[in-house]
Amino acid sequence: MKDWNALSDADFRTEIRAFVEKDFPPHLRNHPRRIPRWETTREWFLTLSANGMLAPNWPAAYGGMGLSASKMIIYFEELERWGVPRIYDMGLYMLGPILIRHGTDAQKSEYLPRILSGEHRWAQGYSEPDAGSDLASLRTTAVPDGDHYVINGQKTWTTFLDDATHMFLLARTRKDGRKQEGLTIFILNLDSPGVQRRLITTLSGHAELGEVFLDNVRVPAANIVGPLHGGWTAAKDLLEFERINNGSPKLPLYALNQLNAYARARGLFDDPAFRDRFTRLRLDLQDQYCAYRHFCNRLKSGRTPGPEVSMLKLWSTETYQRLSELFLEVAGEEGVEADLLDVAGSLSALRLYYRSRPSTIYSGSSEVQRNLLAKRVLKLPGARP
Amino acid sequence: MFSLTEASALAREPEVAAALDAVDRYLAGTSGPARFRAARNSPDAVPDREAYAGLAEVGVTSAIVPEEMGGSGLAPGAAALIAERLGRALAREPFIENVVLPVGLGLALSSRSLMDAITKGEILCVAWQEGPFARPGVTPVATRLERDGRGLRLSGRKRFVMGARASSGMLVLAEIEGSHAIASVPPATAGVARQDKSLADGTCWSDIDFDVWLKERDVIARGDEVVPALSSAIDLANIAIAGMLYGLQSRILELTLEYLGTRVQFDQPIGSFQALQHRAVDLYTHAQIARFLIGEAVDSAVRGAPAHVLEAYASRTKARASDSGQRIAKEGIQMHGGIGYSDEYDLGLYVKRILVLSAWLGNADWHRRHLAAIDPLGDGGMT
Repeated sequence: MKDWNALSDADFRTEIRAFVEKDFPPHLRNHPRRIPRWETTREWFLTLSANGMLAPNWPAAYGGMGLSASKMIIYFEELERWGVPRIYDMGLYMLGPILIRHGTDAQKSEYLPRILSGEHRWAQGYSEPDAGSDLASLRTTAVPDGDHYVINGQKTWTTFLDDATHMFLLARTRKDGRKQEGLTIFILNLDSPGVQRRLITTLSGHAELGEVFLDNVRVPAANIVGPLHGGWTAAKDLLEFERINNGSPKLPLYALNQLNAYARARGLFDDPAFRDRFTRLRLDLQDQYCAYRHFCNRLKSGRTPGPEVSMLKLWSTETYQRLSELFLEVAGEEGVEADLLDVAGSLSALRLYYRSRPSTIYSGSSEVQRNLLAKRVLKLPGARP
Repeated sequence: MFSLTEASALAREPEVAAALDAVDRYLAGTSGPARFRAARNSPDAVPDREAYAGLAEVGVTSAIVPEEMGGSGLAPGAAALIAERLGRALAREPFIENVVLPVGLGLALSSRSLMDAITKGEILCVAWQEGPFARPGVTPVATRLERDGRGLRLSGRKRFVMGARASSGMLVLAEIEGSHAIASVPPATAGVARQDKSLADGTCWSDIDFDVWLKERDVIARGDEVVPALSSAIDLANIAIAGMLYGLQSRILELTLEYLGTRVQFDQPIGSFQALQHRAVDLYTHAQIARFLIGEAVDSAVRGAPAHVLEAYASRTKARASDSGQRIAKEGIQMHGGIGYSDEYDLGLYVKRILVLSAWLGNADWHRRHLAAIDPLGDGGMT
C-alpha cells in the first residue's frame, strides 16, 4: 500500500495531476451532466480503484488513500481542475465512513471491498415526501419478523437511484418516545422483492433523482448498521461528515474555473467592475479553504466535525450559487441559450445556474443549517433543531 | 467558540501560550472599555505613554524581538494573537503603531540598534505615508534627505502617522540620491511640526512636517533593502490589525448574542425570532471565515517566511477582517436597537475602533485590488 502522506504536498500534486492527465478519458472532461450515469463513468471509477486512488478519505487499512487534510484538498483540486465529473461516490463518502465507524466486522468485509470494486453502488434513503428538512419525522417503518425486519414506506429525492444496487436508509423501529430515538439505519439490496423505483427529472432536464416505494420489503436483521433505535445519532454523525464533504471547496472551485474561462474568452477582466466582483468571490472561495482545512484536521485528529461544520456547507454552497449568478449575469443573452446545455466541454452559464440550485437544498437546506447553528452553536433561545 | 487560539497551531506553543496568558492577566487588571472611553480625545500623550509602559512591563513590546537581540523570540505571527486579546478587551495600548511596525521594520532590516532602542524602552513610530495608502515604492517619495555643507537635511511632510504623539523616536522614510533611506528623528527636534488629527474612535494620528538637520548616524538604513523592509513591516502590521479587528468583532458578536438572549419583546427573548437567529448565524459564519484565515496567516508568519506569501496573507486577512468586522459592527448596532446607537453603551466604542483600524494601512477595497494585481488568476493556493 502506497504511503501517499510520505510525499510532499507539491510532489503529491504533481503525481495526481500526471495521473489524471494521462488516465482520465478525455471525452468525459467537463461532462454536461451533474452526475453522469454509471455506464459513462465506470471505466474511470475502475481505473481509480485499480490504482488505489478511489477513496481518498478512507484509512489505508480498508483500501483507502488515508490522505491528510491538505492532500485531500489537493486531490479534489486536481480532479476539479481537469474537469473530472462526479462518479458514483455515495458509498465512498457516505456509507464507507459510517461502516468504518459503526459497522460490524462482517458488514465491513462484505460491503467495503464491493464499494471499491464498483459491484455495489449506493444510494441514500433519508428524505421522504413529508420528511425533508424535518427529517426526524420520517414515517417509513421497519417491524421485526423473526430474524428479519419488514420495511414499508417511501423515500424520495434520492441521488444515484438510476444505477444504484443498494440503499442505506433510515426507518422507524419504535413509535414511542422522542421521534429521534426510534430510528435505525438499514442496508437494503434494491433488488429485493417489494422495491419499486421511479426517476425524477430535474430543472436541468436530467433524471438525476428518484423515489423508492417500499412495500413489505424483508431485510435481514444483520443489515442494521450501528445500534437498533440508534440510527439518528449515527446518521447525524454522517450528516456532519456530509457537511464537510458539501463544504469542500470543490463546487465553488468548479464554478470559478468555468467563470474564469468564460471571462477570459470574452475579455471581461478588462472591466474593473467585473474584476472587483470576481475578486470578492474568489476570495470568498480562497478563504473558505482555511475553514475547510480546519474541519478536515479536526476529523483527522479523531474528533467529530461538530455542529459548527454547518457554516462550511452554508458558505460553500452560497458562494457556489453567487458565482453561477455572476456568470449568468455577465453572459447576458448568451446566458439563457439552452443549446450548449448538453455539449461536453462547453461553457454554459445556464448549466452552472441549474447545477448549483440544489446545493442549498440537499443534505439539510440552508435554512435548516441556520436553525442548527442558532440552536446548537449560538445557543439562542427557543431555536428550532 | 470565538478565540483564534483553536485556529492557530502557533497559539498552542508553550512560549506563545505563556505570553498570551501574561497579556490576559495584564488586561484583567485594566478596565478596557471604561479606560478607552475616559481617554477619548485626550489632548496629551500621557494615557498613550502609560499604556505603552503597561505593555513593556508584561514583555509585549519585545515579544517578537529575536532572542539574540534581547527579546522573547516569538514567531512574528504571535503579534496578531496578542492584538486579538487587546482588541477583545478594547485596550488602548498602542501595540501595532509603536510595537509591531517598528519591530517589524527592525526584523526586516536585521537592525540591532533599532531592537536595542525598543528593548530599552524607547517608543518608536514609523512615518512613511504621504498620501492615501499605497505600498511603499509604488509612488515616489517626496520627503528628501539632502546633503550639503551643514550636514543632512530632511524635508517633507508625512501623513497619517499613528502613534507619533507618544513616541520618543520617529523612523522616517525619505528619498536620498535616487534611493531610499530610513532616518531616525527625535520628535522634539526643532523643525518637526506635528499636527494631531483626532479619529472616529477617539485616538489620533498625526501629519508631520519635517525640516530638520540630521547627522549621518541618524540614517539607520539606506539602499535597495529599505522599501522591501518597510513593506514587510506593513504586511506584518496588517496581519496584526486583522487579529485586532477579529478580537473587536468577536466581542461585538458576544455582546449581540447576549442581548438577543436577554432582551424581551412581545413576551419572548428577541433571540427566539427566526429572522434574527438567521442573521446572527450569518454574522457568526463571516467571523469564522475570518478566524480560520487569520489563524492560518498567523501560523505562516514565521521568521524567514517568503515575502510574497506574507504580502498575500496581509491583504487577504486585512480585507476579510475589515469586511466581516464592519458587517458585525453595523448588524450589532441594528440588533441592539436604540441602545446600540447610544454613546453610553460600550458597543459603539468597538464599532468606531473597527472603522479606524479598517481604514488604516489600506482598507478592504484597496487590499482586494492589490490581490487582484499580484495574483490575477485568483488561484494562489488553489491550483
